[in-house]
Amino acid sequence: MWRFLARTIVQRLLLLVVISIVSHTVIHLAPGEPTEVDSMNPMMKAEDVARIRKSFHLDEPIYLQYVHWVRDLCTGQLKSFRDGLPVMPKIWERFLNSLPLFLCTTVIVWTASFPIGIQAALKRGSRYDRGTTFVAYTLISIPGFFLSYLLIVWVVRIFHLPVIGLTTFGTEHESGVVRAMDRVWHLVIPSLMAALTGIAVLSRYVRAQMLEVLGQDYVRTARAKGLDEDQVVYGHALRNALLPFVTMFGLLLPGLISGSVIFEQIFAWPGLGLLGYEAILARDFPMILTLNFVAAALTLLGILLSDILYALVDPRIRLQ
Amino acid sequence: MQVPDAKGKQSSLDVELTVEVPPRVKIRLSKVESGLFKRLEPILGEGYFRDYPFADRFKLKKPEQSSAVREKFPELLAVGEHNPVITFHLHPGVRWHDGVPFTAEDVKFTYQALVDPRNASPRASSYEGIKSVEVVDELTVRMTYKRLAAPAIIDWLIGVIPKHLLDDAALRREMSKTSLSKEARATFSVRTSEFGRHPVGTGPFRFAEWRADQFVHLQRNDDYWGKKAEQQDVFFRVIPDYLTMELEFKAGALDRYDALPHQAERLRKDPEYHVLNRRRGYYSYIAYNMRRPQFQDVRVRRALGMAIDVGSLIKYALSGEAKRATGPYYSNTPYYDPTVEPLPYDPAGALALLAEAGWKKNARGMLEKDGKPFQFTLVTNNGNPQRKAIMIVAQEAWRKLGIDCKIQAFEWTVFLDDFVHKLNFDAVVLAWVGGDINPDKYQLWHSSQVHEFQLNFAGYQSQRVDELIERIREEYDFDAQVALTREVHRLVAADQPYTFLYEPTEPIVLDKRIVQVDRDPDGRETYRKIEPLPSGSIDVFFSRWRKLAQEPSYAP
Repeated sequence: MWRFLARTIVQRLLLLVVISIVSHTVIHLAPGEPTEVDSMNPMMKAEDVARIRKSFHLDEPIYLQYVHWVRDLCTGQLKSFRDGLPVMPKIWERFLNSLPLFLCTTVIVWTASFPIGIQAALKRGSRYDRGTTFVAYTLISIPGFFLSYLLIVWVVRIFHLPVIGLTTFGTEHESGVVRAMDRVWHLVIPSLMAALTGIAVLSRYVRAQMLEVLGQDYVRTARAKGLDEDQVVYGHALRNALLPFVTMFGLLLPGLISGSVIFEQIFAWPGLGLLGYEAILARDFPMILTLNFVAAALTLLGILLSDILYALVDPRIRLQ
Repeated sequence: MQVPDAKGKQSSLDVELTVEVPPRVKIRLSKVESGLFKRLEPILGEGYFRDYPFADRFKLKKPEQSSAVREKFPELLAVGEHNPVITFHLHPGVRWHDGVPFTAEDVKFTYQALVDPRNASPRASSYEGIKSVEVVDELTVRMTYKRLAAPAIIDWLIGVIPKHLLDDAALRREMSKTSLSKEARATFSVRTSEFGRHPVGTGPFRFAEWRADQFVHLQRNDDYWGKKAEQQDVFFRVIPDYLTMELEFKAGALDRYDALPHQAERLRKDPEYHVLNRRRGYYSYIAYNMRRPQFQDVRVRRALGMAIDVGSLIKYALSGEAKRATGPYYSNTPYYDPTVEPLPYDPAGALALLAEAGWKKNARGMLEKDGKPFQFTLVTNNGNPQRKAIMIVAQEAWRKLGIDCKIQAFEWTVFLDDFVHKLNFDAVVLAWVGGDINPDKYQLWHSSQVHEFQLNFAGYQSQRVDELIERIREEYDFDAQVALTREVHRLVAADQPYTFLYEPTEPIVLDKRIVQVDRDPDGRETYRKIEPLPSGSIDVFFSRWRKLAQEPSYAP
């Protein structure tokens, strides 16, 4: 087991280096300069542009720029082009904003999908099953941002409550309890909207997986043995149906870094999604590259985690 | 030095030379006389300054470079040198927000920081024309320029930064409190200092907090030398989405809302709010590449402009929130000539002009000249619904005349890099923003700026306009300058290198209970409704705004 881990980690680290080189090359290949280098500004002459490009190392060959990036990243000196602030503290701060939203959304999605999916599988063909199928496909088809707008408009018109942002503006002087409740309120609507599509999709998977498992021979055997239905469904069928979801769970990790650009924009939630989006628009290379790198690292970690979990959960699989 | 090569593009050339500087006469005048040297010519001899034998004074190490460098000689050895002097008198009793007095040393320091290569300021070259900045006393600064540059005073609208927080000694103190690598210490400058996160100024509001992508918080400066602000706290909030911005405004968490035209339409009918139209320097246009044969005749360009119904465009695409643009200067400045009429909407007249220029309708109803149909491509950038509307309206208007126009939209940087900067376009839809009060339009309209990566991408070349632009730069008398700029405005409007479309106004929605408080000398307060100034700005008296419990009745 340990030999496997050691070998995998080394392989993954090498892969991470390759990914960083490839993403660095691709990002620099895209057209456009950092927005500080504003070619349409009559006040900025050619000498000014040249000076700024030099301070961003943009005139150097691409491999040297890569070395600059890696060295600055490792020594903590990496600064964003947009405001000259260090990149990692910025990412960390936004990560702490995105984290509650991500956790809340994930919890909602994973706790709601399973009961819905399992019931739909058990009562296949019934009105419940057909109803949830219809709702699921509707939610998948209607864009999330559209529903979000509708919900925000409805809440503001009817309840006169502010919805967007991390907190209600103007509550800085309230007591700790009020502020905590306010933060929870602001968390509810975005995570609910982000969770809707997730629930729709995941419950479909759960249903499909349960149906497949319920059709297996060992389930029939269990029923024949005389076990009661709950034992059969939850003790035997569900446990086996969960295996692919264990894999999926590991891959949730990169979701932490990507955030959701659309929901963060609509709800003015200052998270990692918005940070990455605006970095791309402004061609803020250090920020884009670092976010990309962290996402790659988390993805590889997530895959590793999935592999380990899978081996632990499924006795048929042994890691070599 | 930068010299133009055979294609006219600026490139770097290393030159070594020696200059023998002859003795000079120094004259001190009480006001700038830009025509002084011309008036001296009858005494010194006709063409004295122009025909001065520069070559006798210069020795080049590599004589073969002389032809490339020759045009730089007058710059390097000024025969008639103007050194205009601007003296600024500072207001007494001004303090920085940390209590330190504001003095002329801060102004001098700001200049030094702007031109310091370590700071890599994007505005550095605007201050290249300054010869020296001298601190006469605590409240007086004297700036001497290398040459006549009337618009240079506008560059001094830039904010002043505090010397005591950003000079080398202060930066060293800051570095000693942090742990930085050797390389970081070498490049530590004003740019990388903490000051950028906690600016200190002298205004009616002091900086309190900045949470990135959330808000900037300012607080009233009770130590302000002028009228203290009405507001105790001001928050500038970042809300990326227009719809949620409107909802936040309706929910009461925003007092002022910069709306889009169609949103302002909705709110105009609401009795609780009033909508102000702010105007800033901005005009939209269609630029024609005058290097292409079909656009070289001014009648063709005028006809293309006359075919578009800009009035309807404004009414429907912008909800009426715009004014016709007529030329290169903004209508909210004195440089704009109000006698210039916008092009009339006259498709029949357009056809007549095109016929005069040789474009006749062929059998298929398309315009043709010398067997070639009138065809071109109109390009703009993605993500801008107004530009898309302009493209569609223009294409349709021209199709009715019999012109085949294709339209394309690209991502902004692709649009700039591949089409605009490489001068690889027939016509583009773009806009100019900002620089309202600057009369100097050298970069945009001078004939020397028509090369790749320069801003006169239409390729407009007019000797008379060049002369005027150069004279504007040297004219220190404001009324004379205005006369010159108005002539430029008329000439460019007549030549139509662009079809000047419109100047949009920006609707600002405010609760009607927000009023401007005026205090008369006795201390009595009167309320005034907030209105835009003639320049189009509404923010000049922002610090006097107050939100009342209900809308007052105003003094007549």
